[in-house]
Amino acid sequence: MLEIPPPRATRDYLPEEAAERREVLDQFAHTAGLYGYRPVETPSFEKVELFSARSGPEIKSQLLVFHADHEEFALRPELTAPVCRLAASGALEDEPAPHRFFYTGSCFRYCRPGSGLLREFTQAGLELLNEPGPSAEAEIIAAATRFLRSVGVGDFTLRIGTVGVYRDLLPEKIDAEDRSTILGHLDRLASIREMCAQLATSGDKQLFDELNIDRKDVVIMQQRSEYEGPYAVADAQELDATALAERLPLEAEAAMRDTWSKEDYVADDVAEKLIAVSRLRGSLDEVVEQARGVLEGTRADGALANLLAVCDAVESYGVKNFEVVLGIARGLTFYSGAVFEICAPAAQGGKKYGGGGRYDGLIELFGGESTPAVGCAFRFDTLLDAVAANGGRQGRKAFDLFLEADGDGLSAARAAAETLRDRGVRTGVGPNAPADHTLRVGKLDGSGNVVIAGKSLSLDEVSQ
Amino acid sequence: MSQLRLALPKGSLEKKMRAFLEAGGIDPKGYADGSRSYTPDLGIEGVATKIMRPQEIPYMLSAGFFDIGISGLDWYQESEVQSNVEDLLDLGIGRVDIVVAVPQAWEDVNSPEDLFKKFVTSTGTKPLRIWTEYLNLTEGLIRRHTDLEPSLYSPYQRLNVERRAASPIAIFHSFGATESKPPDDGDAIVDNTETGSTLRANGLKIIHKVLANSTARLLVNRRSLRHRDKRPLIEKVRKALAVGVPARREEEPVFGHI
Repeated sequence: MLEIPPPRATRDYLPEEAAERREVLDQFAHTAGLYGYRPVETPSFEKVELFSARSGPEIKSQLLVFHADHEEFALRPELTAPVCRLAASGALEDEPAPHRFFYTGSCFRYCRPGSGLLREFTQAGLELLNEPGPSAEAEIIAAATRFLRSVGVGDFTLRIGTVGVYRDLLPEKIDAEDRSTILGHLDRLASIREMCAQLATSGDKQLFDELNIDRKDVVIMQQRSEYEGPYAVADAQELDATALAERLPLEAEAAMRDTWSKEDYVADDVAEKLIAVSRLRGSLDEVVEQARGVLEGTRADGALANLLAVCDAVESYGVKNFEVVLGIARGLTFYSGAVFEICAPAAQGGKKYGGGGRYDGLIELFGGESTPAVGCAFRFDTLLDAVAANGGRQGRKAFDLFLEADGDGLSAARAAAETLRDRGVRTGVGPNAPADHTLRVGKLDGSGNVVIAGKSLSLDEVSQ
Repeated sequence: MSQLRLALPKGSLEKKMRAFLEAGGIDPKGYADGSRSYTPDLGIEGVATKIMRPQEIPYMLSAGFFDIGISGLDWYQESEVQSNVEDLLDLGIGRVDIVVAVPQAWEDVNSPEDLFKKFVTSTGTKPLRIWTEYLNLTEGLIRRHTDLEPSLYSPYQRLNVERRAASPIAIFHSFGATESKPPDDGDAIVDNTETGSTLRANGLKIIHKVLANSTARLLVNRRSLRHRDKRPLIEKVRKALAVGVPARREEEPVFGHI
């Protein structure tokens, strides 16, 4: 016997779950439509270069790659790059700008066996091209949050920040590689901080283990730069969860600041400002006030003013419940301005549902004209879990009505069922109704009426 | 009981490899310790070890002469043995990039596209001469960027009826010191580099990475992996080596919005 399991790190969805997925996807399309977004479809695979152009060929190890005609292709890991390729190709010239697109589709990433991640997953996203002002970010955030509420996930955390402050704090003439190293470090630092905050409230064992792995990296960094100071990891014993959550961000900050200084990436005062800004979080007013103190007299004033404008616009959409996090852990090399993320509340594990932001440089990178762009995408599968946890969409039974018939009665029942289907009644025919999938069971009587629970109804009455 | 045959790399990887084995609690007697022997003793019962050049190890594994071996990702890919040799573990050491490099003076050439355009579409009669030890990786690169079949200059071409017919692109089989060939005897090279400094010192610049982050890998013949007696031994070696692999958290992919 041939036994063929599904490919590693993929899964099947049975009707009940598949129906729920479809419904939530439909809801996404509906919400996008309320804001004038229209669907786009692109191929499921692209030339590898489309995905390696920004991040370098190292990214290939995270893709599912195949060859045809001596060319190298990858199954798409996300949908923003394909949309940008489309925009860069000039195919949108005859379309009215700004362009409002939405998409839903399968994406693919290679992940280590046993990592618990799926190699095929679903993304749903919005992209708004050619809209430079802060209303673009606000509209995307408004649509994203409306969608969440519409599928019963009203309880979420929205964080807004900007990568503009980092871009503007770094000297204009900094070496590109140094720049991306620093941005990479800041990204890492932000994620460490985020996880530590998470650990402090939850004490989660898995998080604790992961952070200890991060700590090993911090040790290596400190050793390389020969850091000596109050936050040297070597001085500290193994820490329990509470102590680790408190100390690790400081150890990481020290390692990074020391590395930047000794490798001469940036001046010490700039390093100090980068770290100080990355710590800021709170209400809009608090953060802006503190950030002004740090950024006074730097070029980053403008980025801060932009963040303020975006947040104001978001509030005008009635979205008032958000936190401003300047050290938001979102691809600093991808985005160019405001960024945001939407997560489960900390009490529910804090998983990321989705995120987005402004990425003005990307379309140009693919050979198009310089185009302002804002977008966001949802991790659909994570979101689906949340939908289910919040009671789910009510799964409908397969049949509204099942006409039980056999032998000579079958042909009349089939004809009646077709008439009912014409009127939108989901109807089954057969000798025995499948109880789990059937809402009501009926039988035809001699006059062509349907008898349901002892009551005789005409086809007209049934379809009402 | 059948023995497991293990191939360890000779050459630049030796020292790092030795430190790696030691970190995993293996004392490799006769490996990278000044001994002239080619058969070190790892002290693991049932495992017979031999030192081979890293270039030879992947296809020796593929042919079944060895069960398990350590070589670079570059030679694993160059040898085109993915169908029956598995890449079991990334040891994270001996990192090199396989790159395309051309003379620094060529300001108009900054990508493979530029390079092929410069030679193939120009009306000159001279072919583009690419020197390399990585014949297959280089051919793959040419095929991906052009519709042309390159000609090959190698002492071995008569063994395999290779083409020497005039093609606008010619691969020259290099046996080392590849960076010295351009500009007189070649136009471009495909070679490995750790930092790029040797290339720069020889007046070359990198225009493309054919294979980035090639590191040492533990490679295994797939049939050996299914062998009842060999499998536990392979697992033992893998576990010992895994100890030395630097801890690395699964990094968030830097893709798109999420």
